[in-house]
Amino acid sequence: MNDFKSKVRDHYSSIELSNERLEKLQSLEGKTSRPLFSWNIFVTGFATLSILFAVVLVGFPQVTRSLEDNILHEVVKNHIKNMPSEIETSNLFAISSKLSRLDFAIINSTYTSDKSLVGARYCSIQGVTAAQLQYKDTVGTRYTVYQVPVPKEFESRKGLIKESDISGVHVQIYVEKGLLIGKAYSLK
Amino acid sequence: MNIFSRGELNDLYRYSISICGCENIGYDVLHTSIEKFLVKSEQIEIQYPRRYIMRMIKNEYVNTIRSDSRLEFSDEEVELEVEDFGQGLEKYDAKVVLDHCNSKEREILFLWAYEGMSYSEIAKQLEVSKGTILTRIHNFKKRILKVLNKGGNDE
Repeated sequence: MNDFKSKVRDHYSSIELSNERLEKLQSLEGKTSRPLFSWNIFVTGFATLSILFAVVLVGFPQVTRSLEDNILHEVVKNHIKNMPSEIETSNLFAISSKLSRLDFAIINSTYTSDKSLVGARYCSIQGVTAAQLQYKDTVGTRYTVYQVPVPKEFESRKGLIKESDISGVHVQIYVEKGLLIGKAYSLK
Repeated sequence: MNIFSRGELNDLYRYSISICGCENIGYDVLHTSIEKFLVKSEQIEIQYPRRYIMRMIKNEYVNTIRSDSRLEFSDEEVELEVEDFGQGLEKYDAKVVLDHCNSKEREILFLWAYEGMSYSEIAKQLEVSKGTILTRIHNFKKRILKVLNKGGNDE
């Protein structure tokens, strides 16, 4: 038996809810029972139907885009915004330490190994918190690189998923070391 | 009949403390999570209630605290041999070690020691790869042994 393991187990086993707190938690069950009719549900349902109707009517072409295309467009949109870096350093480890809210480790992608890191900031791709890294090449071209955990849809994929030219921006998305990476740069 | 027995509530309370690092916050987070769980359980069928509410507790803590001011895991993943988590820590008191842990480290320790999970099961519970868990354990031990051998100052 691992002695440290049993010490940790004993430590947690010694912690117990007081009777008062236990009864309070157990009494929650009766308090949260759902009424037969709820205005909240009615209003939420109505709002959802209205939004769906509006999306189908106005934005149907966007809804039918594949996930790959949605991500490509989002990467391009973020690249064009050109938001300033929150951290200006060429040290990947320093960036990783500063962006502590990320639930993954930033990687040094092979697709950007010939470029110089200049800074980073938080961003989001498809609603998931992402790292936005700024790179420059030897002639000063700005590259924006996004790193985010691989969505379930791409779990079986590796390497380049798709690339395209959108609104004067060349964009690629690929999977590397368990991350989905989007890379964008403006075409001359 | 209650969804969670007194024993299960105590287990969830301990898990909540392992994440929050403090009994009062642990209780508040558990309280809110149970309220949300009960509402959710009336809307959808929850297949694995224990795993589901553990995730709710973690999310609730993240929402409450947002960021952990202590050391976060950050190193890139490296290939590691499966090592014994407790090796080298036997001589230290559990509370002393836990006091030097951040939230993620305490959670892994709790799942390993109290829940008796294997590294693969911990990886599944936390929705990360087994390699990530091994890396975290490796980095944690490297740091904690350095801190404890120095006399407990991790600044």
